[in-house]
Amino acid sequence: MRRLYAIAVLYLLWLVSLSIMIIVIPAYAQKTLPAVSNSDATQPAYEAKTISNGTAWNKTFGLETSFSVPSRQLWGYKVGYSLEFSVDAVSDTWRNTTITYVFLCNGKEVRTIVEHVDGTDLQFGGSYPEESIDSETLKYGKNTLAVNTAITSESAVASESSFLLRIDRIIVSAGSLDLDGDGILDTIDPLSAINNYHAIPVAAVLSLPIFVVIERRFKSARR
Amino acid sequence: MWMLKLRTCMFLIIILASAMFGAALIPSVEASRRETIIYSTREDKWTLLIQAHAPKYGETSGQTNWGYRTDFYIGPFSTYSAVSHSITLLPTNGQCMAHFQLCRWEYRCVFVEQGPFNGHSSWYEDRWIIIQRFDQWWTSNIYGGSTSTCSDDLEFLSAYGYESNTFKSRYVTQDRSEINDANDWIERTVTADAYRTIGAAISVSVEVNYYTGTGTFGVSNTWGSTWTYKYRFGPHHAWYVDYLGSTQCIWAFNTRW
Repeated sequence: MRRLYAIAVLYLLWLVSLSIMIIVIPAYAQKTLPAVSNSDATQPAYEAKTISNGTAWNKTFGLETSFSVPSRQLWGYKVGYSLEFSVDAVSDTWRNTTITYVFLCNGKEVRTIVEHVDGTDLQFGGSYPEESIDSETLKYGKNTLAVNTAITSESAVASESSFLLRIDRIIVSAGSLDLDGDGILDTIDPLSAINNYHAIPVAAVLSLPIFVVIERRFKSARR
Repeated sequence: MWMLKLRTCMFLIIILASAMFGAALIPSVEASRRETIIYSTREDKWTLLIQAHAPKYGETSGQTNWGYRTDFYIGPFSTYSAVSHSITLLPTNGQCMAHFQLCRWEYRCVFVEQGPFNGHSSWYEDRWIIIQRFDQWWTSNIYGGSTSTCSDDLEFLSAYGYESNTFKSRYVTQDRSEINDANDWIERTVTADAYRTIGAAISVSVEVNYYTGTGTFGVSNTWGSTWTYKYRFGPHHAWYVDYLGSTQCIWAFNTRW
């Protein structure tokens, strides 16, 4: 009788230790990962202003910011990036303008954003959805994020126009990633793309034969 | 006998553990639904995310860098797609604007079978959904022949090799009027509380390789603070206003004088 209870207690202990291994320890480790910091105290705001009375013009410029990854465990981080901007475009005639932003992280091209701006009078601003940088592109310590911007504008006829693109800041947001590094915020993991809360009872069921074997051993020993 | 009790005990522990951790060991009703895609086709479309109108002799002002989510409910089964974005449009002097993102839409004809928990049944569903969002945006004036009225604003556009969805943007009927006899500008403020709807139930249709689905789209404030937009009216003019959609936040204008 005591032995049977001992087995039941053992099974409960197994469940508890499984929970600690799959949920508690990873959650704690994830919570205490050091955060990525943006090392640039001042963000590179930039104004590209063009006044034209022709049919076409173009302009290019580059901006760069940096951030640091304070751990060699690069897989543990999610570094998101985007930019904040505003546009003020005024033209006497209909004008088609295309802004192309090419993002480079540590010299490697990671994203291209194209914004078409068509019309005679357009004021707008905001930011683009953030995207993450692959951990293979990141490096321990200082990282650079550059944005090369090209603006081309054309109109069917020569006309007075002014175009102001203001980049208010390059956004670098960072945080700890889920521990399996798959970018999917599972309930808590390290099991890749699996909800760990579901994994525990599954593991518990799969471990049942072990306890049947233990039970039989006890039974045969008793005989 | 003891062995039986032990196994019963084990089973109870497993069930308890399953309940504790929310495991779905018992098959859910959802699992009894089976879907088969009979046919699908895709097309990249300029997908309207947000539109803004300004009165002639006036302007629309607001704070940029707001957070939005545009929800689409397309087709007879109101198939849902959503796009998050954060571009604020600030048109002036009747020069209405729209902001699009290039999205890949897919039309699917789906055969749905359900049972046995809810009884056996099957039917076909036509669905239009966004399956991919590209890093390409397009901001354009959408006023038609005249900036004095939104009654001829564009509701379908085509550029850079892609067509847009067809969307309601025109002034049709008067919901309110604004008269400014004074020498100063007057201002009307519209707001949407945190995580609330800015514009809802605005008509839209999506054509994917000749399969057309009609439905609605709505724009929501996804920020934790109140969204505020101001319509400003210049001196000595008057306007009729049509609310686009079921909320009173997105206005279209018709100049009276």
